[in-house]
Amino acid sequence: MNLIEELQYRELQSKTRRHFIKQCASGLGAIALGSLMGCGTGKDSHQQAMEDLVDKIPHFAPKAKRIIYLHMAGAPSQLELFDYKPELGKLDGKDCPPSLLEGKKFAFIQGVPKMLGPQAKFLERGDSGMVVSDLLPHFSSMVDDVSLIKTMHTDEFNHAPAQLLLHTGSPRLGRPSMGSWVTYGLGSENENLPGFIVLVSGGNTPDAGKSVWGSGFLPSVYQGVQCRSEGDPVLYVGNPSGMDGKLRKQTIDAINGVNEKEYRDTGDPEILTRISQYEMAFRMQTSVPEVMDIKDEPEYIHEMYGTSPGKTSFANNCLLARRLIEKGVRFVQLFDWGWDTHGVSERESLEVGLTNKCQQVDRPMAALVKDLKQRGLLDETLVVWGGEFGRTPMQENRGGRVWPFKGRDHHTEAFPIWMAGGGVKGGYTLGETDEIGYYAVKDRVHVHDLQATILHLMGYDHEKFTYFAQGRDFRLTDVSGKVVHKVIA
Amino acid sequence: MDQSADFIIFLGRFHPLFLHLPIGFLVLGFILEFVSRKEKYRSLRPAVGFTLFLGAVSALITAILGLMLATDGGYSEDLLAIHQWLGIGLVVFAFGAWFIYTRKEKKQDPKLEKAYVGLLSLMMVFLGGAGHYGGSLTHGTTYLTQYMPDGMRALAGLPQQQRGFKPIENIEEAVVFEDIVHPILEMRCNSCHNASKKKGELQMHTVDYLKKGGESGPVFVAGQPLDSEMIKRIHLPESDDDHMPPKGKTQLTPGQVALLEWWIAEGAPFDKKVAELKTNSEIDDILLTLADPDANKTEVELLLAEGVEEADPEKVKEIKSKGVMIKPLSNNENWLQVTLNKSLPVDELLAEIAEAFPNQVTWLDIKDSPVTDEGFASVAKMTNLTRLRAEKTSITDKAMGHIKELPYLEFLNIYGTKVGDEGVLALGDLGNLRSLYVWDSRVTKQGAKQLEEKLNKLEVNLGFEVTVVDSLTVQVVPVKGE
Repeated sequence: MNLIEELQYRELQSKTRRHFIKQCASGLGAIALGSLMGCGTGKDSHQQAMEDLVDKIPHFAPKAKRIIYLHMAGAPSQLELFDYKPELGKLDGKDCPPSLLEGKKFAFIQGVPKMLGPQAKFLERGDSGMVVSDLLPHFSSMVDDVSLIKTMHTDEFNHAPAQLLLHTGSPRLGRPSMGSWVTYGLGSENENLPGFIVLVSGGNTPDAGKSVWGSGFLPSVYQGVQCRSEGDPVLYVGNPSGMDGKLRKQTIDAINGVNEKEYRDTGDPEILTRISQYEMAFRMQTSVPEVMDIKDEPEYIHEMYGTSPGKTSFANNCLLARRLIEKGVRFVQLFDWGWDTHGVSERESLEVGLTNKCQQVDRPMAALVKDLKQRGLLDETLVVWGGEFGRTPMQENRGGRVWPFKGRDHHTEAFPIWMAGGGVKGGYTLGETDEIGYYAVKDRVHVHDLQATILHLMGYDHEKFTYFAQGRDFRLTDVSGKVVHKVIA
Repeated sequence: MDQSADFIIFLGRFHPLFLHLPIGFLVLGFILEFVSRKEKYRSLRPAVGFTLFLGAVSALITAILGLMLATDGGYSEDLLAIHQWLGIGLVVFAFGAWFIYTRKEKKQDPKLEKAYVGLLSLMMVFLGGAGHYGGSLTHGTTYLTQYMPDGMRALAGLPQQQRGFKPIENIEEAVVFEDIVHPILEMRCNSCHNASKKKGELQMHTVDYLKKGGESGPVFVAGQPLDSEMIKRIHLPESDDDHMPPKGKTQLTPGQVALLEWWIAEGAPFDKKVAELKTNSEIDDILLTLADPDANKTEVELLLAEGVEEADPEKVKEIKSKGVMIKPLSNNENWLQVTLNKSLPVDELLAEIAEAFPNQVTWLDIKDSPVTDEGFASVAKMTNLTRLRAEKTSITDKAMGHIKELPYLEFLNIYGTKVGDEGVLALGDLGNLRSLYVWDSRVTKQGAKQLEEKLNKLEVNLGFEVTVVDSLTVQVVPVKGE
């Protein structure tokens, strides 16, 4: 008798009649419960679960079927890009009036900072005459397809909470992200690819970490899947050396067989999610490398975006975003890190750092919108661009020092975002800020208002689009949010 | 001194609560009186006197509380006077009726019987009157009739109800305040800010009162919409106590808010016509809807708003089981969107779908599929098709020939196909066509231009031309028809 046989023998010996009866009772109970709760057994209900993922019907006919969200992590300066304030230029170098500082908290500004005039030239662009800085020459050629909101405001003045608030509707961890909500609501159009894909560039993931694309309390199928444009697109999806596709398929079939048996025994629907994830992962082994390989794009497309295959860049990610959208991915989330221009180093300065970041994103983001347009995809794809908050009209004086570079601190009262396609107006500027760009004064748009608007464009009433968790219904917009009808075409 | 005045008002506020007692008792007494005259309910007879007594006493207390409440002020003098005297009359008649009842019990007298019935009837009339005017005081005089059906209004001799805006025939000649602003105030503000209700000491139903303002100062600052109390309150979050109209009441539409802001921005004139004020394109669009609610809607929007009969659910299920993505545009519409995957026998399925749902399919997506020109004969049968994606297929001019009579086609994507000028020029009768995507097809700049000239709403997209300027700059210019 070898060791394993002996173990089995011992185990059997230790079983009593009580074990037998207990096992029978709880097993039968679970089966009865399963059928009572409407879970059948085997393939049918599994298929039903998959159909549920695909067959989602919104509250009203959607204007946008897909979203590409370009997030500039670190928060770009509105005063150098979209909000031209000549009055601020006149105040340059003067002490900030106390009225702007009373009762305010800043991340780094201490005492009385100096005002800082616009560090870029502004021009009227396109037929609409939208005023845009010369740091964004490529973007300036497509302003007539864009709705610019200059009066966004938020509640959080630090990166991580502000990013969480923007993407999950709450500054604390644990809520599903916008992409998860949208995928949960509209399902996927391509069963070989995840409905929600995340691409990161700029050298770092956003400060709030992977929670900004987490699924919170929604089923984990709706979580964002991060793909990389360098090396393996999705980590751990490739086959290890020595294992070919056929063997992998056999392995997954065997695992799914065990899981299906377990499902028949227990009726736990999370097992179905597990089965479908395995199958999806297997299909992704071919579908993902195919869609993530940009080498087969023609030369003029590479010129348009400024892409170089095989590298990690915002340009490559923009091109990938278009390819993913073409394949029917519902929500493509791009993060580009490095926009936190405090002025404490060259990289974080308005003079050098911001100019460099603008050069990295300006051409590809313009190319993305134009490329979607020529493919007839812009009509039903919403492109959103923006940071998590804005920057102060005052120069940052961290530690009470004068820094060698120009920079601005975090600011919650006014920041811009732009949207294109997907049912929004073209060549439209919404909102006004005061003379120095400190407060949004007319047509203020809160982060929850933006979320409500995005859901509205996707066909959902943000107040009715809820998910029951932890004893109550949750929504992306928490308890507020108003659709900004003015930007909707 | 102040303390006792406050205490009187404190007690007075119980008036609206207490008044239900005399109403209940007196109506019950009245009913008992006549019901107990029947043999069957004879046993109820002794209860009449007691009920009337309770009614009379509670009416007295209610009247005293009412007088206390009146010291608070803020009610329309005329209405209050009527209500007050009807109430006092009611107390008198109630006690009178009870008194005669007790006399009549002791000694049968036909005269007393007559006086009793008369007093009882007068009491009921005063009860109704006092109740009605009391309701008018708290809810406003139009509260009861506001939602009366038009037929009943005609019978009652009341003017016909104006729901929403009365269409304005000639918008340029319309007086901005009288024809546009006042109806909005009438609909959403005046039910609380009128001569009888005056919430926040504010009345908005006449020009003079509107100019006068209320507790929080003037309603508007001419030329300064954002500094105007009314606009500020409209923009507060709905949960804010100062938000107007209050939470739970019908809110102003974004268009109505824009009109109010526009009127104030233009100096809040009371006599100027639309033509005399400056407008922008946004205001122009809203003004157009005042003349005709559908003014800014396209034929396609009207079609989709009109709806369609439901598709046979069994048939939908059957076609779905063949791998077709088919589903309604939204939860409350019967319009269908259909997507056919490239791995399916597209031509056959199209024929089947066109046969089963000729009216319902309005979005069709057959991009990147093996559809042929012949398949388009089926597409042509989907008469309410508004969006068609057929890019990256091998269709030719012949396919366009099939769909040249789809009246509502608005969006057509045929980039990356073999369609040429002849094909797109066949689409010259599609008056609703707005977007045509023909990049990377055989359509030329000349062909595009020719079609655009024929269809004035149409924009043809021929793609972009890319020119590299330097390592950082690239020019991407749209190709235009010529």
